[in-house]
This record gives sequence, C-alpha cells and structure tokens, in this order.
Amino acid sequence: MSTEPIPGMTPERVAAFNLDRQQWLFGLAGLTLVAALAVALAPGAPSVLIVLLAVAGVAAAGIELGPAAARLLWRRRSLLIVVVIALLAVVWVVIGLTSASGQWTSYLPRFANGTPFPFLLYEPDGQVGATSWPWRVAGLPLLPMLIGALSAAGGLVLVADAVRVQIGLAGPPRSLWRSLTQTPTRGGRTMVRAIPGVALIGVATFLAMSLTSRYIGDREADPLLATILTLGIGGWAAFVIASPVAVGLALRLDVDKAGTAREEERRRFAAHLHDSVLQTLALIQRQAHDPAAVAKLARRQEHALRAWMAGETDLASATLASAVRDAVAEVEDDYDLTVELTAIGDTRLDSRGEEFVSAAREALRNAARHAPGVAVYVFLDIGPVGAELFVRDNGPGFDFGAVPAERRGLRDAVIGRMAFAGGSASVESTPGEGTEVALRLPINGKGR
Amino acid sequence: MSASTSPLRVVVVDDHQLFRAGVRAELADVCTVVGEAATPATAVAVIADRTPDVVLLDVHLPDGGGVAVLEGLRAAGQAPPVLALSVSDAAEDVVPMIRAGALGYVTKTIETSELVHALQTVAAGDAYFSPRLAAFVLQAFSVQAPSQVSAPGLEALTPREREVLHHLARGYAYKQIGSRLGISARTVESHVGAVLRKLQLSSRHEVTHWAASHGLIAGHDDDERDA
Repeated sequence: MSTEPIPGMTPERVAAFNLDRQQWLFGLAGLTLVAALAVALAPGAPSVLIVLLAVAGVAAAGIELGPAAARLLWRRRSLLIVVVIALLAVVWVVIGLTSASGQWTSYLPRFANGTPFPFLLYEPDGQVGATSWPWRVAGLPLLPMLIGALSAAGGLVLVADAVRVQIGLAGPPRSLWRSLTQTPTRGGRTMVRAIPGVALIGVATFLAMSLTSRYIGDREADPLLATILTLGIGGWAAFVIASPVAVGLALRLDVDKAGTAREEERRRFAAHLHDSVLQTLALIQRQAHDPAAVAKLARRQEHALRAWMAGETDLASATLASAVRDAVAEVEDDYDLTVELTAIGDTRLDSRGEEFVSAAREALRNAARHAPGVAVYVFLDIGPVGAELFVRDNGPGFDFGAVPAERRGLRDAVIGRMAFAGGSASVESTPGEGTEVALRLPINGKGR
Repeated sequence: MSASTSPLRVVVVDDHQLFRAGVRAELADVCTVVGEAATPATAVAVIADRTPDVVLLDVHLPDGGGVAVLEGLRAAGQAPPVLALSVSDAAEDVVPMIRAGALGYVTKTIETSELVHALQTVAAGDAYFSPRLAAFVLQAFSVQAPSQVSAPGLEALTPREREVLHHLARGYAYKQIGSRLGISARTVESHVGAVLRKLQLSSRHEVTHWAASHGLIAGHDDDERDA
C-alpha cells in the first residue's frame, strides 16, 4: 500500500499505521460481521439475508486471509482450539437464527416468573428441525452440549498450559500434548493461553447454566434453584481449574526443594573432592619418584575417601567408630604404620568415649614405637553392653610385669585413662608372641 | 604357607581390566592366571572351561555381582574354591558372598604376599578369614546386629566358635589362637570350617532372597554407599 504523508507523523508512526491489503480486508470483514450481528439481533430482522451478508464478508476476507490465517494457526496451534470452538459457535448461531426466523426472543430461557434467563440458548422445541440433527441426538441438545464440552476442555487445556508454563512444569518435551499446544518448557507468554482459556471456561459454564436453567425454567422451577445450580456449576469449574494449579504448585515446591538439595550435594561433593582427592593426586604427581611416599599418600586418601563414603566424615567424629578411625589414621600418618582396622557397630561419642579414643591412640602409638614395621590390627566392637577395642601387633612382645618403668605410657595413658573413664584396660604380651592391648568401656559405667 | 610344587591356576573375575592386569602381574611369580572374565555369564563359562585351582572373584560385578557367579557355578555343578575381594569393606557386601559359597574374603588393598597366602589357603579348600571378615561374620551372627547385616535362618554360634572368630578379628593367627585357647591349630581350623558351613547351610533360595531384599543382587556399585 502507498502511504500519504500525514503532518505530525514520524516515519515510524506512519509505518505503525500502515495497513496492508490483507489488514484492510480483515478490518472490512470484521466490520461486516459486527454489522450483520447487530442487524440480526434486532427483532423481526430478515435474518437469512443478514447471515448471507455475513458469510459473504467472511468469505471475501477468507480468500485473502485464508493462507495467512492457516499459517498463523499452524504456528500458534493453541489458538486453533479457540478458533474451532468459535467456528462451532458461529454455526450454532447461524442455524439458530435461520431456523428461528426472527422469533429468537421466544427461545430465551426464562425463569418461572417469565423473566428471560440472561444467556442465549437456541433450542427450538417444536420448531422446524427440532427433532433432527444437529439439534437433538437421542433426545439431547447435541450442538450446545458439544460446544460447551469443547469449550470446557479447550479452556482447561489452555489454563493448565499457562499454569504449567508459569511454574515450569511443562512435561516431557516431545509429548503429544505439547506438540499439540506448543507449550514452551519455560518462559513464554502465559497470558496468551490463560486469558482465552478462562474465557472458554466461562463460555462453557454459561452454556451449562443456560442449558440446565432452560429445563428448570420450562418446568417452572424457582429462580433460587437456578441460582444454586449456577453457583454449583461455577464452583465445580473453579475446583476443576484450581486442583491442577494447587497440585502443580505443590509439585513445584518439591521440585525446587529437591533441586536445591541436589545442588548443595553437588557443591559439597565437589568441594570435598577438591580438598581431598585432587590435592592428593597433585601431591602424588610431585612425589612420583618416591614410591613409598606415593603409597602412603594413596593409603591415606583411601582411608579418608572410604570414611567419607560411609558418611562418617560429616559427623566429624560425632560417633565413637569415626573418632577411632580418625585416631588410627593419625597414628598411621605420624609413624608410617599400616593398621588393619575393623569396626563393627557404632555409638554416639561422649566424654567417656573421648577418653576411650585417647587411650586407643596411646595404645597404637605404643605399638608403633615398640613394634615398628609389623602389622597392627585394631578391632573395635561396639555392642549393646559397651565398647571393646583391641590393639594387637605381631611385634617382639615383652614381659609387662618385668619392665614397668619403661611402660609408663601404657600405665598412665592407657590404663589410667580407661579407669578414669569408668572402663578398664589390660595388656597382654609374651616375648616373641606380640602384644595386645584391650580396652573396655561398659555402656553404663561411670567416669570418675 | 607352604611353597606349592606347581603354580596355582587362577581365574580372575573383575570388571576392571586394569585390576585384572595388575593381579596378573602381581601373581606372576606364584600363580598362573589361566582365565579372566568381566561378567557373571562369561565367568561361569571361563571357569567351567579352565577348571582353575582357585577363583579370585570381585564382589561388585555387573548383572548380579559376585553372588550371581557363585550361584551360576552352583547351578552348573562347578565347585572351585572362591576367594572374594572388593574395594569396599561393607559387611552387607561380604557376608552374602560367603553365604553363597566363597571360602574367603579380602579387600583390594591387600598386600601381594597376603593375597597369595589367601589364594593358597582357599585353593586348599580351607576358609580364609581375614580379621575383617571374621568381624563381619561375628556381626552377622549377632542377634542385636542391625537388620542389614544380621541374616535370617542362621544357626547360633557356639561359645567356642564365637571365641575363635573374636580372636581372628583381633588379628591372631590360627596357631596363636590355638595356644591361647589350649587347642590345636587344626581344631581352630575346624571351628572356622563349622562357622563357614553354618553360614552356607541355609538354602540357596534364602540367601538369594536375603541378598535381593538388601539390594545386593539387583545393582552393584550403587549399593556400596547404602551401608
């Protein structure tokens, strides 16, 4: 279209008002339709003529607009639902107008006192075509019911889509549902779906109300009943719409919570791996020339990772077994010792348990000092009656009674400590047979 | 351990190729690795084909884990001695392997000399109870143990058997246990054998059911952290 320069208009504004041929035709067709409806709704209007005029207008616009509209609808398939229902409604109005032949007011549903119910309903009982399709199938007013059902379904689809997009729960990307309605996973304009959706549900509700009130009106029911029925249907519609929304919101909360937890877990995992495994790997690379150091580093890391996988590190020695594990690792590092630790059972770490762990650490140090280079076994058995810990080495052994002065470490740090904690300790050693220190801490013993 | 006249013939079943290669190199002096397998199905076939003196079997394998191999062997009428091993040392990994027929258990960090000793012990048809395995078995027989570890249908241990296991857990050798308890090393061994039989006596169905109910058969690696 050519444009005439208009004073005071910038080129951009001109461009905004610049209608092409299709838009002119579309506007014209719309105006024709509005005019046709206005004339048709006037009492005694020659409705057949008006309808023909309207159809001609739509057809004229459609020739030009058809392909564009088809493309638009294919791109925005959610609009298709609205358009199909609108077309059905137009058919309904057209058939109603033609068969009623200007007597449309007599088909308004009325309350018992003669007041017309404020919704249009064409159901020409006793009129031409009243017993045939599309008016009645098996005694039911088919077309209004079909339009109502389609409106309700389409409206619910659109509203549910809007809700799902809004809360980010749009389902798997390749579902039939989403290829039909083209629901984006996230973002997108939810109002595009929500407003027509709500409107369609409104249409369906009105249709349902007018259908039911029609029968009630015919049977001279009172307005109160019609109102209650209306409210009931409205409430049902509200429930139908609200329940997926409520479920969706609850799900969203869960998803958010799970997502946060997962992210925290991942961060914790990454931080831990960085502090432990990556550090160790770096150390190993720098000490690759020293096999002993590499083995020691690997063993230390293995202990740490194992404990972490078992969920013990998080408790940060909050349990007796993890505290003993830490103590063993500490002595292993300090003395370049290999300890075979086996622990069964566990319990909370209290002050008596801390004394127990300290005593265990001293017993291990003693083994490391006096039996270097031999295997040391630690067996920690935590049961319902108490904790027992055995530190055993296959070292040279000694006569405990004969050399008490040199074993002050064991006497004070182990035996004294255990007595203080309300437990007991014993040392068993035979020259050539190795040494075993046993610590016992009864669960109900009293510390001093 | 006594030096064997001919090298032990070993089949290594582990889904980590690197680990199999490592074991092969490690054992080269004492054993001949006559076969390798990475899955239960191939393991059963390889073992049936090579008839090794002993099988070194990883607890964690795809398609049912080491327990599936042991059951496959039993179904195929094969009964080679099996030494189980794993990276993890969770009781619920280890005890089902023993119940399903393994004669011993070691962790993958075991020193070569100890691994050789364990293989020789098991190849001779004796149980190899590392201190850790003894502790786990003790726990499995304990009535107060958490349900994940205590197994149903177990005949109770005698006080002497319990004592022997306790000493094993503390790191004592058979001979040392014998002298401490005033019995012969051979008697200690027979007590260990009795414990092993008590673990294995319960029906195969029961073990399968127990292992499945603890998620030990369905998956493998994921279960490591479920302790």
